[in-house]
Amino acid sequence: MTSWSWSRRAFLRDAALFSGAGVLLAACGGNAPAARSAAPIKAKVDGDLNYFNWSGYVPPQVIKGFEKEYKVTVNQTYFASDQAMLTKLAAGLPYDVVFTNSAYMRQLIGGGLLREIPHGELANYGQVIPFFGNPPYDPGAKYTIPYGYSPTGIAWLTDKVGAMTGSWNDLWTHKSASGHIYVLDQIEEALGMSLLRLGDKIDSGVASQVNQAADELIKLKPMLAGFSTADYTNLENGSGWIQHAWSGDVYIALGKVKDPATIRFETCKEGIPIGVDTMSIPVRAQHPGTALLFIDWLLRPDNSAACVEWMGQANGTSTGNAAFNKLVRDFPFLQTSDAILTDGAWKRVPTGSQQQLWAQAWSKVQAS
Amino acid sequence: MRSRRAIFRVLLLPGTLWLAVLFVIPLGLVVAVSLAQTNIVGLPVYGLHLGNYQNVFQSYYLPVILRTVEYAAAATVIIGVLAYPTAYTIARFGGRFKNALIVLVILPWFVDYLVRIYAWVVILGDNGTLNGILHGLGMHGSPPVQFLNRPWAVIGGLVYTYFPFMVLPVYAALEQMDPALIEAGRDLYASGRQVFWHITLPLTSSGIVAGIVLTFLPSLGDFATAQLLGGSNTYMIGNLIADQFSNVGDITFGSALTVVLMSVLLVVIVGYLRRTSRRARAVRP
Repeated sequence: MTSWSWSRRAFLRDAALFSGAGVLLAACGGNAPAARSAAPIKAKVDGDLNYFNWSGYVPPQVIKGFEKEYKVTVNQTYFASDQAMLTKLAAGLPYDVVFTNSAYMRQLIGGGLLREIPHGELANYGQVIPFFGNPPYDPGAKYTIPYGYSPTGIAWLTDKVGAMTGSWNDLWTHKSASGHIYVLDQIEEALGMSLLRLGDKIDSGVASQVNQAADELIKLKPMLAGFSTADYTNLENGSGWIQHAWSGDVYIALGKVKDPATIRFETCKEGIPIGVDTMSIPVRAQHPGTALLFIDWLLRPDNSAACVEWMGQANGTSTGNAAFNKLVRDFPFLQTSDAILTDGAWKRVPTGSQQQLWAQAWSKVQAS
Repeated sequence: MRSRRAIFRVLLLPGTLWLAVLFVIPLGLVVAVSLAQTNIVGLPVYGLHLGNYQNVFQSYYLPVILRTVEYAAAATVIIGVLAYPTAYTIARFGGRFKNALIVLVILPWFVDYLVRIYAWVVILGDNGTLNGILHGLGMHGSPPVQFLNRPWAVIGGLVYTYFPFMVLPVYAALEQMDPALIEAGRDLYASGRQVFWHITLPLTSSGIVAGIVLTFLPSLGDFATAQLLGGSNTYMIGNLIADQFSNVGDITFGSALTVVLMSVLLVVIVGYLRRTSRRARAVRP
């Protein structure tokens, strides 16, 4: 069940490529909605819910339960990359609840695209663990409620490679795995990882550091099978011996292979990249009251646990995180703790001239 | 006479409107975005910034451009070699099955493009169907043959995708040809080979050229094939453009790349149109 939902998500990651033209048109369709001071949202039904998320990211029975409980319809629309999500929100499309990502908060909050979420209106807000009451990407948690997170590290096949050292160098040093190594095909993951390995900040905007990180990835390219976000597929079908991977996807892969002992995962000492998929209400939302009820619905302990079991990620609620650690009790290397949140390297997608610097560096890596 | 011309003008109107609204205006937007800068949320702030074009002409993009032309040309040649005999066989020997055979050629297009390429991932993967067959044939214990992530996987994908675009125009040209010309050639003691080279091929060259245009140009702009069947060293210009929109969020640079690519394609198309119009003038009495 879970794996199917994630397959669809990966499928849509690729399908994102096809939405380029539409995104461009959407981008041209209007100006960014300015942040406006609206009256605080009240948690009451004010219409059907226009829901915007990755495909299959919330268990269908949880959504159906919400429809039944509040007698509303959830109109689901999916995006295929965080970038596409940002562009559509920026174009002012009137979604009520959106699954945003912490790495994009400079753009989403800075660009005034999100509405404040009054915590007092959420009956289950007490479920949110203290860290997410004041996360680094959203001081005071004014615009976001956590939904799912899984740190980035390295997964490998134990029958193909040995002697992993808990360092990002492991991607560079295993010559015998040449042609079977994958790096995540996401700019903030790939460049961020290379920056961490060099001892720089994951979101460095210093040109010399970013270019050096890009050069290191170019040096790695001859050994790569490719850049790919289908990390669990590569592990499952055996093409990826060493895979830059999200721990949540490693859990999915473990559930699909015959012998789970063949897959291991490590986080790396130079820094653990971390980001959270979060729930937000855009300023253009037409039914923010229903959206607030929906967020509260997902925080409810039973639903929260159901979401965790569905996607194999921790989710930042006390019930959800307990359910997660139970889920991965046989795989200690996947277990999470609050230390990952406080000590992890928070991914941030740069803006302005730094974004251009990153975009050119990444394009150079791909082109070389 | 005059009223007939008026009718034709009216008939032109829907098509003209369609092109203006869905083609010219979006194209204008792409050009405008290519000269813009992005704001904090990634939307274009229009202006006259040539920096995006300066970035296009960086030396490190040259290998991508050369590779793209190489793959598209290789795919076009292979398609030509495979599609001509296919079209010829259907046109000359298809009999009453002609239409059914043509439908078979385009049948894969009834399935979504992305799904069809995914099917190849399943077939060519390390644990895929093809390796399973090889394994069954007695290559036990040997490591799986790596088909994916190789240039040939991408070129093969392009061949598979654009094959019908060559078959159809060549078939149309062969259908238009009078079979009596072949018989006349044979009556004048030409060998089968001579008839083909001196009669059939020249008379169907317009179909071949149309097929080349219809396969080469979309191959140049293709990105899904390289994305799914290729690896880190099969990156094509289409991937570079797609990445700007879906991954790095630099729509201004993506638009500049698009404008440059379209300009190059335009030169090819104009060359083709001039050739065909000269030909049309030449055959007019």
